[in-house]
Amino acid sequence: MTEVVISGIGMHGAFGDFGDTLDALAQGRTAVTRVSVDGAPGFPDVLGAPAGPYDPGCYAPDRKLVKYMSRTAQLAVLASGRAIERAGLMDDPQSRAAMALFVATGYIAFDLSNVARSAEASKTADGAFDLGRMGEEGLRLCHPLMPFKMLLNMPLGLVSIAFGIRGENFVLYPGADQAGIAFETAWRGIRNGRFVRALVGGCGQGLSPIPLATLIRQDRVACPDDTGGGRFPIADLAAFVILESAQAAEDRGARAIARIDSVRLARPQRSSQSLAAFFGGDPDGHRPDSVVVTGCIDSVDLQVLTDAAASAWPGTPPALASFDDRLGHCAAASLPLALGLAVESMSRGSVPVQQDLSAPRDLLILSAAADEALFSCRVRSVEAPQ
Amino acid sequence: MRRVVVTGLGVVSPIGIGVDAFYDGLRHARSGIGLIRSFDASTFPTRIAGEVTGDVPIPVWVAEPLGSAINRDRKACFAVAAADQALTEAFSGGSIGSSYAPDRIGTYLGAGLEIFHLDDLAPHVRGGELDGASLLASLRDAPAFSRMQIPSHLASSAVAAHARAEGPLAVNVSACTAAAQAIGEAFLAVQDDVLDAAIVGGYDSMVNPLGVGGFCMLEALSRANHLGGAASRPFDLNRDGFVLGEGSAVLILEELNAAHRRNAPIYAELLAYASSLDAYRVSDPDPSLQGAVSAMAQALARARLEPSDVDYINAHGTGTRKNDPMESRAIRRVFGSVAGEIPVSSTKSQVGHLIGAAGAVELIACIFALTEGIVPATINLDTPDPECDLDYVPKKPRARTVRTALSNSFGFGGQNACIAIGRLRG
Repeated sequence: MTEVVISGIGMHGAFGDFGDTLDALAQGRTAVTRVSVDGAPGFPDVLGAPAGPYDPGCYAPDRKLVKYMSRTAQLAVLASGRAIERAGLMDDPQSRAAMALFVATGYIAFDLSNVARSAEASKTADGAFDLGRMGEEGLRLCHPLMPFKMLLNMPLGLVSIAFGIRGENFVLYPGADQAGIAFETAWRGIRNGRFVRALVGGCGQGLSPIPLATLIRQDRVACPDDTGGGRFPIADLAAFVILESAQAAEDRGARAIARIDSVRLARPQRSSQSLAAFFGGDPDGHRPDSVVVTGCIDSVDLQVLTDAAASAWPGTPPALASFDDRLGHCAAASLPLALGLAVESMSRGSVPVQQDLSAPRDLLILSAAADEALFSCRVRSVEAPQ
Repeated sequence: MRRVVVTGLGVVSPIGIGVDAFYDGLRHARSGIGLIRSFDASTFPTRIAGEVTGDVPIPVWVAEPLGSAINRDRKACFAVAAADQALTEAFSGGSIGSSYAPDRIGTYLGAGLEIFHLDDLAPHVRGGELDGASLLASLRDAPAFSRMQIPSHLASSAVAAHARAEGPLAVNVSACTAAAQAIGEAFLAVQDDVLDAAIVGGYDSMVNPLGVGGFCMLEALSRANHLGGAASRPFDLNRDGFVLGEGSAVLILEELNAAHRRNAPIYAELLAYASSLDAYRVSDPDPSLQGAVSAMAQALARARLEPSDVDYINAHGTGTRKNDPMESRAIRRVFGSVAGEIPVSSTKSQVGHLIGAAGAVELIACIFALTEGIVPATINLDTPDPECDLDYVPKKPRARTVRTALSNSFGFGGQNACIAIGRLRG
């Protein structure tokens, strides 16, 4: 089987790219803040981590392309561009063209300024919604490019256009499990020789009124007056990684950042027993230096995982690390975010939320999704023995 | 290399609910397109679509909390109905869960966009601005997922839960290529020994005010409302855009030896799948043809097929000015001297463009060709377009032995997918 390495990582979130994010975490900072939602007066404030400022056109080959981009697509293009740069592929259009592209994306963040105008114009004098008026007046008030910002495949399409990526592809939706499937597909495709390189990641814009209303109704959004926990601060962000066959990376003189030795997907019951079996089923079995966890919503979840780790690796179980409480949660991007942070931590020699862990070389990434799907992958430093 | 076969079919389409009705519609070149009846579209520029008519039977296993949302979302109703047909047919007297380990069963479905109900939103808009407090208050007492924005993946989750499929549950939202990609990726997962069986396909309905309105804004839809059933005219000189359709198709994939062991009905063998990207423009196909050519050529190569081995191509064939000549030229480039000898048809002429479900319905049309020995027609092809110069099987289906077929799906945004399918080889 072909050995698979990570040759590039890129993200854009509250603190910027991975390096800035790790710096901020090392300084004890948090991105989670009280957020007032734009465009919906009266909407309750929530806890969230909005993306930091950025130039949406910095990687667009033609700035006109930006007008087709939703904020989700802008974040995807920015994070992808950073991963491509880090992998040394920006000056290598041929390698980019052959690259596969697998993306997970979140709920559609409808452009409320358009939709609300249209809804208003579709009302009769007595305030009732009227389809006839929508056809006559409501549609006319929508921006003609609005559909491009609603189509769920556009973040992928725009990344492909921005960077000339022409390979195998798909876009999945809307949760953390979908990013796991995207990652497993990319890893398996390289292992089995279908392609040698893939850009894989996730993006989402949950801090917008309509997706936020959906998430609030699912009781998954943390609010400033929360006391019980069990809910996420929502983040707007995108994170991408470049997977590559070790040989292909070596052939083009690229530096492999880390090696991916195993990837697993499952949907076991959330009990420490079945999770321990999931951990214990890891093909190479031995204890990782740390388990980097994303998607656990509360201390109960984390305790189940801690117990499972203790059961799978009795004696000295690995510690669990999670960045979600400080960076917020964006389901579709949570896996590539955790993976990228783990890889960057490994290359720096420390995991910021685990002061006691020095020189991690072997990390297990665990992503837990709302529908009980679990994804794990074993990431090792390229110098670590196989 | 593990081989993958199709052992169950389910379809809900504008020309019939159930495989028999769908096949009958193909056999008789029936059009499922007419004036929109599911909402009042009288003031919309486009007032025609391929709608599913008749009662769509909702399986008894569709329960709350998802039930009320599924009932409010046409595409979700189509999905559970088609999945129920496919599972019942493939596992008569049993269940997929009793035949395979749960974690070796995947669910890979293409899905359309979230349903967004403007009529839910309108009461909370004042002076062109959304009143967030009023909106949230109205949602508080409504069942989860039942109002405003219905996520697209709920039907997939319901199908997986019913089947006790604990393998990957992939919700592909690649627009026009979603179903083809979902089927293709599940095929690869079975071939790669990650799964033993998969529930695959797609479901979509954009026949709603925001869907029809949005595509009208893009000027992608035919406005030949007066033509009714004759409005969808792929490859015709006078075509003026595509006609939206709605529906779902679900197929059951199994590893060949496992299917043999349980004496499953085998309709066809999936031979190969490939996908590519145009990386060109958001809304236009790439004039270099590179993406479309790559998807077809790779599918042929992976299936170890020569161009002359292909007996039928189910074209993407949308009926837009740009797609049809582009696809025709791409087929010519891939198939060279034999291109003119291969029947190429667009079943979108009969059912419209089912967007996220198109690739699945069209793959079942290919299975119809393989099993019935009939190539579906491109109806409404009255005036050939000189730029579209292949054999499009105009107007009537044609009797022909079909051993191998290709199904093309090309998406808005530049995604391309191609599936090669054939009769089970010895």
